[in-house]
Amino acid sequence: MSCTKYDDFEVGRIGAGEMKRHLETCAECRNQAALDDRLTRETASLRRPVGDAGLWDRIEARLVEEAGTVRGEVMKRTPERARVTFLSGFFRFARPAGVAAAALAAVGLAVWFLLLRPAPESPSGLMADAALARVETEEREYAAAIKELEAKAGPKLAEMDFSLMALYKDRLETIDAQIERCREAAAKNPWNAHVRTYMLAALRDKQDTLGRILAQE
Amino acid sequence: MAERAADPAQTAKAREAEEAEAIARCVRGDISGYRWLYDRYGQPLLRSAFRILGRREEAEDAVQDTFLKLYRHIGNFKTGSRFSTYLFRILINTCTDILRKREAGHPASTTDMDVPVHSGHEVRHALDEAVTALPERMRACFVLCAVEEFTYVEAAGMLGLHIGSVKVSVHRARKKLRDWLAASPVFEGDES
Repeated sequence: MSCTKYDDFEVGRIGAGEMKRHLETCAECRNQAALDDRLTRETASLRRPVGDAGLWDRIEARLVEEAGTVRGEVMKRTPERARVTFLSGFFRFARPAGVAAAALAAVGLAVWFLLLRPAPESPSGLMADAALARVETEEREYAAAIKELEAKAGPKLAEMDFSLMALYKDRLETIDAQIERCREAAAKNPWNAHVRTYMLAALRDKQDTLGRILAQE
Repeated sequence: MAERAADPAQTAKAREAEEAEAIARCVRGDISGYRWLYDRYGQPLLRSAFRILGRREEAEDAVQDTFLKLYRHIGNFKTGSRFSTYLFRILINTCTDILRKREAGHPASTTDMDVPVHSGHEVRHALDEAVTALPERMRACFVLCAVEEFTYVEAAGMLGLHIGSVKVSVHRARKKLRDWLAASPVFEGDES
C-alpha cells in the first residue's frame, strides 16, 4: 500500500472532512475504507451469544464449595490452636523426668477429644430439625408476602416503559428459575443449609424486586 | 397505540442500581448476587476469554476462575469505580496465566480452536480464526475495544497498559484484519 492517508485518518492525524475529500481521488484509500466498513460489520457479528450450557451450575458449585471450605476452616482452626498453646505451655515448664507423664496425659487428652467431647457443629452445611423448621416458616412467610406483592405489581408492571418492564420481567424470571432450582435441591435434601440459605436469598431478592416495581413512579 | 420510547438514562440508572445491589449481596456472601453478575456479564466474559484463548474449555475455566477470584476478593472492589473494569481485569489476568502455563507446558498455536462457537456462518468463523491468530496483546485490545466496545481508557485499565498502547494495538489489529480480509477468499463477494 503506497498511500498512507487512511492510516493517518485512523490515528487521528487528519480529520474526517479531509479524508472524505481524499477518498474522492484515491482508489486505494476507498478500498481501505470499504474493507474497514466490512470489518466493522463482521466484528459486530462476533458479539452473538455463545453456548454456556451448565457453566453457571459449575460456578455455583465452586462458590458453594469455597464458602463451605472457609467456614469449615474457621471451625477447625480454633480448637486446634487452643490445644497447641496448652501443650506447648505444658512442655515448656515440665522437667525431662516428667515427659513420660506428659505423654500419658496427651494420650488421655486425645482419647477424650476423639471419643468423649461433645460433637462440633457439622461443617457440611446440614441443619438441625429445629433450625429447619424455623427456615421453613420463614420461607412460607416470604412466599405469602411475595404472593401479595405480585398481585399488586402486575398492573404496575404493565404500565411501565417497555424496556424497563422487560428488564424487571427478565430479572423476575431469573429469580423464579433460581427459586425453582433451590426447591428441587431442597426436596432432595431438606437439611442442606447452603441450599436453604440460597433459597432465602432468592426469596428476599424477589420481594425486594417487587417492592422496587411498586415504588416506581 | 405507539409504545412510549424508553428513556435510556432511566434504564441505565435502574441497571446501575441493580448492579450495586447485586455487588452488596456478593459482599455479604450471598450467591444470588453472583448469579445476577453472571447473567449480566457471563456472555461478554465468555466471548472475550474464548477469543483471547482460542479454546472453548479453557475459556469456560477462565470464567469459572474469574468468579472464584471475585468471591475471594470482592471486598477489595472500591465502590464508585466501574465494576465491569474490575471484573474484566480479573478475567484478563486469568487468561494471561492460562496462556503462560500453556507456553511453559506444551506450546501450541493459538489458532487451534477446538470448537467453533455456535458454528454457523463461514465468514464469521473465518474472522474468529483471524482474530485468534493476532498477537496476544493486539488480540486482547481488539477484543475489548472493537468486539466488546469498551473505551480505550477502560481497556487500558483492564490490561494494565498505557492508553496510547491500546490505541496503537487496536489500530494495528484492524490493519492486519483488513489485509487478511482483502486476501481471504472467504470474503470475496460475500456480503450476507
